[in-house]
Amino acid sequence: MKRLRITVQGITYDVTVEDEDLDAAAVPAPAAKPAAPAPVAAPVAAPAPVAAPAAAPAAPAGDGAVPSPLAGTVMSVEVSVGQKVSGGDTLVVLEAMKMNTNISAPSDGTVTAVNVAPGATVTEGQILVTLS
Amino acid sequence: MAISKTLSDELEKRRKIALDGGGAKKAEDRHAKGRMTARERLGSLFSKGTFQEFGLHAQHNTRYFGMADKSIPTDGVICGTGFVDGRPVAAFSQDFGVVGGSLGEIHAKKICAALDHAVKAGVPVVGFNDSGGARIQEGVGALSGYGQVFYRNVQLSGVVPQISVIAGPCAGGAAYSPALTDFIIMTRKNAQMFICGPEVIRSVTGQVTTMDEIGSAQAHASVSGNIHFIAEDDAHAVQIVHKLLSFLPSNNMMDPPHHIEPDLKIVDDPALDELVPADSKTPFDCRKVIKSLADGGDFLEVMEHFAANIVIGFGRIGGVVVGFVSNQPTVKAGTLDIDASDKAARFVRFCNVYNIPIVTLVDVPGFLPGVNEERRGIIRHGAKMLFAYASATVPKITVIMRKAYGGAYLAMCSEDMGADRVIAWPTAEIAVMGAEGAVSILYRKELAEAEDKVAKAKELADEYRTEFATPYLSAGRLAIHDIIQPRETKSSIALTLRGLMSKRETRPPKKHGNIPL
Repeated sequence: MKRLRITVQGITYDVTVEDEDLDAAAVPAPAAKPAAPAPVAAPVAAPAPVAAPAAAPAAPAGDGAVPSPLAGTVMSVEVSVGQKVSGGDTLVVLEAMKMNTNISAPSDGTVTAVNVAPGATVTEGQILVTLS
Repeated sequence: MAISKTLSDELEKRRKIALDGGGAKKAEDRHAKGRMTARERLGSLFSKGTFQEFGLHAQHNTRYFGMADKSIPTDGVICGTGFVDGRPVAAFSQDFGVVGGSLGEIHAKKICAALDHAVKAGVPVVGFNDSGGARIQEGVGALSGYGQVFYRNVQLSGVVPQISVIAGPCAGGAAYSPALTDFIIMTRKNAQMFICGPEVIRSVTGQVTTMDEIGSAQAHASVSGNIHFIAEDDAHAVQIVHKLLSFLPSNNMMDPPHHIEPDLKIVDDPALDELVPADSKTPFDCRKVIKSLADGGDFLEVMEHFAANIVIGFGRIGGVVVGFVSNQPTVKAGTLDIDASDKAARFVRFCNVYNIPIVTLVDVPGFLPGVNEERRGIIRHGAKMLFAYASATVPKITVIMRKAYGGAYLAMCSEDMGADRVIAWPTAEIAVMGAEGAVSILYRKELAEAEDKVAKAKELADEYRTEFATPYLSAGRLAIHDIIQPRETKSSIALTLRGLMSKRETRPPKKHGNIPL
């Protein structure tokens, strides 16, 4: 398995790539690994769709994944990987439709991945941060 | 001379059987689960000793499947009238303890009698739904029963308030009776509402789902928007009914229960000045504004968890019952989308039909851009808001707090949509579009030629903001009646409402308009 950092249209993705031929016995990447959550929602036009193949057992947008409620631009990221947060803490501030929107933690947890950086444009439903 | 003991005993015996309903064992099982029986629900709805039942001695008329000899006390539904806070209310309560609360002909007839009484007496009707559905043994008789209930739900709509409590299963066709009423309250546990359950969905479509996902109070309150309130249990559901009724008139010919004091207090509320963030991009919770406007901070929010980018609910200002509609800047930037439009438009129409003045608080950057929104018909849905506001003849007061852009400005009851008074805070920005967007169109050429395009765009946008997107330009064009300090808002609205209590606005007669549905 190889970890790559890919930037597509200003959005940075940390992805894990598995070569199934080499690593036949590959076990699903443990959810705890910060780099694991593959950005399933990578833009269709992404020039380097390395992340797209179903190879990486895409950590689904399930528990702990904090999606963007609307399309916008990331103004600031208020947390970093490993940080403990309480429910209601602001994780990311987005600007959309002439307004800042605070994306807050749905519950207590630890930040296991931050998928966006300030300046990045995000789409509705894109996973911004993952909490454990 | 006295009544014969035999006759008297006979009545008592029959009463006891009917009042026992499903029997003590079933009642105990319910209590163990923290639930009320059908009769207890009505007992907690009405003031003590005011319930008058009709149809206690009702009997079913099923002749098939060996049902003829079976006794079904009350035919599975308890109906009658009583008083809530001194006002008469009609109600029915399906009794799951009696043949699963299943609906047969007589059962339906009893519900219809409650509805007929409500419309004749001009009183609200509350229905507790807790039924396994149509009584299969009665065939088309049961279906016809539903039809008669639906028909009456529609005849009553806009005449007397109808409130439904979903306190158990409410599946298939049965779900359409509550859906036709004004408000639905559903208990968080033990209640399900759906047309096709998970089993049917799986066998027909292969989709795997759960009751929680499609039929729970949580799902209906937040995703489908089918219900208006979640209650923690039966007692809480009744509390919500009481609270709701405290804001509603008994019928469409009456005013809502205003609490008007002869003297109107005109006092500034400096706290409102503090609520408005200095930076127009900083969100604030519009509920704080609503609570500071509502007497005693008493605000009953409706559909709190659905389309949270718009907030609706009831309160009083200076004693006058009002319906609040406010954009919520903290959610989706306060944009209007399909769900928000549907939610607000139906609320505005409810307020209008029951003579409840509407106070609209505006901070809207526009309709939500998106492929899904366009393809799912934001044009049709957004039009509902325009339709609802323009056809409302109750007093309409609009407060423009901050942004009011484009079509969304009109959809939030601008002066042109018939607002009786439009007031704006000094922070109001009213324009066709935001500064950046407008500048990129207005100054396309200048920007193309500029050396530092970013700096030029910012300079022009700032200029646009100070000169164009202020409330003074709109006030100059009479689109705003006055510009006030936020601290003056409550007293200004209260005074306006007081002056509009006798508002009469008539429209050309017609069967009904053709709202885009």
